Amino acid sequence: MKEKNKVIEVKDLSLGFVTRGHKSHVLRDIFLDIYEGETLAIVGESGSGKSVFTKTFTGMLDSNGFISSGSVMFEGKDLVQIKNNKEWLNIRGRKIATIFQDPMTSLNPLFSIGYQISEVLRLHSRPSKEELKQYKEQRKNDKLLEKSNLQGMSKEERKDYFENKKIKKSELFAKNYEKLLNNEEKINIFKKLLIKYDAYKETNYQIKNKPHGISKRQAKKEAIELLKKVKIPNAEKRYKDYPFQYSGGMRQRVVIAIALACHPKVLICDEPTTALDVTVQSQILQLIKDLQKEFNWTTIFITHDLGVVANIADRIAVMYGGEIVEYGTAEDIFYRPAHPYTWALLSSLPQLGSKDEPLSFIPGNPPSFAKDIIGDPFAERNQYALAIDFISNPPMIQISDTHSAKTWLLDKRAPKIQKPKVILELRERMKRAADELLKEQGEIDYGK
Amino acid sequence: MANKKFNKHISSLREKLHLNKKRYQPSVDEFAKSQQENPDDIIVKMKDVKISFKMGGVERVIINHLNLDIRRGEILGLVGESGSGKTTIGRAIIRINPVRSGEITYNNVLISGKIPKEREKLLKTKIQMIFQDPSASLNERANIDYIVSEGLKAFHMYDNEEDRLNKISDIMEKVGLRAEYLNRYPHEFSGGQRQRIGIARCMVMNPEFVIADEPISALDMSIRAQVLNLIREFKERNNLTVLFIAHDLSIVKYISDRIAVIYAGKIVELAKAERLFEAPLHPYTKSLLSAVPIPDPQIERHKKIVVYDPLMHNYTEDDVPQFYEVEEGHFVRANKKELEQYKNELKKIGGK
Amino acid sequence: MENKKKENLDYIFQEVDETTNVYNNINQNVDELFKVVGTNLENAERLNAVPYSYWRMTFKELFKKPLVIVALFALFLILFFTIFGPLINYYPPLNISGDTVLPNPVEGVAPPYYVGPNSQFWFGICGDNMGTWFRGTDMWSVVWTGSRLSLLLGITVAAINVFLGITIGAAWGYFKWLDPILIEFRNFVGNIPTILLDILLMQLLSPYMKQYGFLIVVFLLSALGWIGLAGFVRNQIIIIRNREYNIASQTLGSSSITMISHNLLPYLVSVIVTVASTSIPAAISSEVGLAYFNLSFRVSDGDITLGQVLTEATQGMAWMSHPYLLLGPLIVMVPLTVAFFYLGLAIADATDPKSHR
Repeated sequence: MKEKNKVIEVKDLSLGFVTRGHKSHVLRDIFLDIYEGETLAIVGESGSGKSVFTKTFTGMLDSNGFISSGSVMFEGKDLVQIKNNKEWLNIRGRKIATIFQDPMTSLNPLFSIGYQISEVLRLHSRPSKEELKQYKEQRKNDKLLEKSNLQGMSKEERKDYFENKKIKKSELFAKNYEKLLNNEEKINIFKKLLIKYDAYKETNYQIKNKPHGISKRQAKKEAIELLKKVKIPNAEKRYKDYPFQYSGGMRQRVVIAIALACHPKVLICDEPTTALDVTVQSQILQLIKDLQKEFNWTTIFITHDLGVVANIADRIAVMYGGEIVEYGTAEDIFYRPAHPYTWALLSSLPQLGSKDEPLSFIPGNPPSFAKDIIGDPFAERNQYALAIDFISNPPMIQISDTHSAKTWLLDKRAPKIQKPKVILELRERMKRAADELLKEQGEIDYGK
Repeated sequence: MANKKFNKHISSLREKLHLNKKRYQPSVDEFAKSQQENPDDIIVKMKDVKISFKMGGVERVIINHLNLDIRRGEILGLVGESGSGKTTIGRAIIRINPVRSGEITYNNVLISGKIPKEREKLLKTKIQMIFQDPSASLNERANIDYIVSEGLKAFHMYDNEEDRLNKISDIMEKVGLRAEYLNRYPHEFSGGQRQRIGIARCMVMNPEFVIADEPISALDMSIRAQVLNLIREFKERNNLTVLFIAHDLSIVKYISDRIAVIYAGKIVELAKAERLFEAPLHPYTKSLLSAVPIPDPQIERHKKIVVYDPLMHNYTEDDVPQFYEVEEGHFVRANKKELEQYKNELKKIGGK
Repeated sequence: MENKKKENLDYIFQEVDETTNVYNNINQNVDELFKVVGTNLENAERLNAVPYSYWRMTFKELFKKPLVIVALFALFLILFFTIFGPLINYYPPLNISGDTVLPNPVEGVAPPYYVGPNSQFWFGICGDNMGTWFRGTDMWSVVWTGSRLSLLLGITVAAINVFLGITIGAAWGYFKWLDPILIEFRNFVGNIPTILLDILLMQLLSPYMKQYGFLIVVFLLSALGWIGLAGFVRNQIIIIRNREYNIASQTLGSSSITMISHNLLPYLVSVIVTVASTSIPAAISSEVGLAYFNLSFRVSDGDITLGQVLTEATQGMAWMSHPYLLLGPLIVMVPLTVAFFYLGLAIADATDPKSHR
């Protein structure tokens, strides 16, 4: 395996909330490296802290949350240290984008879909304040230079100079106009006028060398392009539709399109398919995968469904009670799971059950953050809990280069225990499930 | 504990003052009578049912020409995507959604449209419902005691206060919750626990027929099986009939005896659970099967998704699709041309 | 800030210390510690949520704000003087015939006198005010007598309005068949100018004014006063009427009354309390308006409302040269309305469960 560049490096991150005067500790001592171009899945039940964890990447922690220690390094900057909102705006959305479970949280019901996407495009193409400042100074100097040049010229020369300038401008205009005209499919008089105006503006910008955002028409074009990219049928027609006219799956596609508009380096998907039907879910997953290949971003995928994880993840981190209890490549987690919590999660998948035995589940509730957790947070619900689990939190024990788990069972002194039946028969059962579900597709590639 | 003592005191006081209402006793149990008179295997029968809503003056037909029989003592899985009308069907049976035309019968007694008040009341003691979202379907401002005994109180299905408390503590224990939580509020419970409270308030009524409307899709993977097991347990103990509504085939498989697949308000395939997985015929069923995620990275990465396009059928006016029985107990919606094709497919797969 | 950080660090260090201690102990009894003991379901099924009481939290949140304390103190003061004010420094007002009953007429000034606030007459004395019966009245006595009746009126009207508003509003929102009827009623009544209606009713009821004056004004103010609150409650109920827990209650066979009292109204408690707290000052202000058009009651000269005090004091031009005449009424009216307004806002904030953290 070749060395990969780290995009995000989380070190010893601990985080808490203050609720009704009580301090609760939600994340504890998290170490995690996220590599460029990979898909990392964070798996855990609700209340395991998986969403809160990724919120630290975009500075969207609730106001009563506080980071008590640790660092999150992104592009050489420690995200934990960022305090003002301005700096966050540079990162949030632009470099790290998020897709939420409910697409309506990211869409404004009062504006059309197309408007919302093109607004984002225009916003992101707009020059920054520094650029504008630089331009102003540049422009001042240019004018002074022109003035001094003109002073040194005779009357004839001056005339020539202005004539030249005019010709240059009209040539440029003609070129721009033609270019914009070629972009359009149907042309009428009004459109021609509008395009002329656009071309005029564009020419002015080019002559003055002014940094500028894209025009409304261009933004619309790009937005439709994006809608096509996320496979929305009839993109031109649906551009004008409002969010309520879209179905849940389509809305999620639009949110992905908006995220795409910013060309993020990291895309956080916070349970984007949980509210969707299975058929739509598989399509959205496919879309995210395809787009990732094209744009080469890093995906962080949060979910509680191991079935979804198998589809999308390169690496998996299993979270429980605010800790990462096991991480490794997808193969590590599915074929060689080491933590009892991962075992329990895998065996509770209905796809692997059979009708003659009751389906297995994890009894009890995830631990509350309101009280301090002593020992292993999973101990109380753990069938294989050791006495020490109730006293001391196990260390992260490395199994292979890529695979680590946080359980005392891996300790040298621990007794050898029999893994649950489902885990032992895991491959068999998966193949059986695949045979049953996918027989229409002819030969199934079972891998090694 | 003090609460219990207090309740006992109150109940004895009520008895002394003759405040206790009489236990609910229907004058005539029409449904039981009809069942005795002509015993039938079918508990709920939907005949040519049409359900539509008026939205801004425009009638939107959700369900049209629906025929479905639910057999006594079975768990029937009803699978389809959101907007396919599966929830509407469940709610039509329990009389939340009105039926425009056609009829629904329960034990051969009409329960749709305008029916006597007495029958409607009696019906509510026979049919119960489990809801999808455990956080939305429990009254946040009432304690568990009230929530679980709401139905009992509405019909006064207990002798005295002590009887009621016994009943609810009993049901709480059966769903794996402690009776001491009775005066807690829903927001203090986790999602799985809340769904179990929802099951408790449904089962405490001792219904004959339960509509489970996506009872697990809002829950974490790790506790879904617990709720499924619980429903199955109750079904076996009380000889229930269950209509289990879901959007995921993998879940329905382990709980249903028969599965009906619904698409855009029409049932496209109906078969025994095993047979449906063995020999799926309708292209929509096939696409549903292919969409179930398999927890295996190797297989999953090479999986192809089958996308169902309703335009693929090429139905014409002189070859209208109908609901045919292709083999015993296996129905599929097809036109004549497709029917031939499906029969050939079945021959290839082989019999049961 | 620094302190907070340190505290957090301390917590972590403490944990680390504990762990190392355990590490040291491990070597001593390894066998004992590395034994499979299995689940502890007793603990795992236990409720994790910290039990909290909605109302206790509401009060805690409410009394956290200094403005609430100020408002409550102002209300307490007004209430105190309303009850005891006239007893403290009381001079009965002149009767209409103009006989002076003032015990200590001011020397060198012919009656009726205009006297500014001083140590004897705390709010001053109203002089000959365009020949109204107000001539020579001690403002302190008359203001607190007035606020007594005004508060009584405000509380009665508010109670009736809130009661009618909630019951009718709940029925209006819950029963679908009632909706079009009441909406038409609201549209019809809402478009008639209230003042016209009041004048008409006053004319009709004038023969009974001497006997039932108070009740008539209560009737005038609450005859249409409930419509606003009822409409508000109706809107709120329609918003939550079709939530899933209500459908669940329906399938369990709960009656309409149970649905309203157990499922719908408990969700509206906070908004209702908020609206109710502003309806007392609203009723008092409405009475002021009625009195200005001479539509309020007067049983006897001693029985007077704040509205009448304000009306009488502003008759003619006297209050321009003697602005202290407005001091008394304003000192009661302004804190009363402002305090109730702030209380309403604070209650709205405190009863919102989202602020309970």
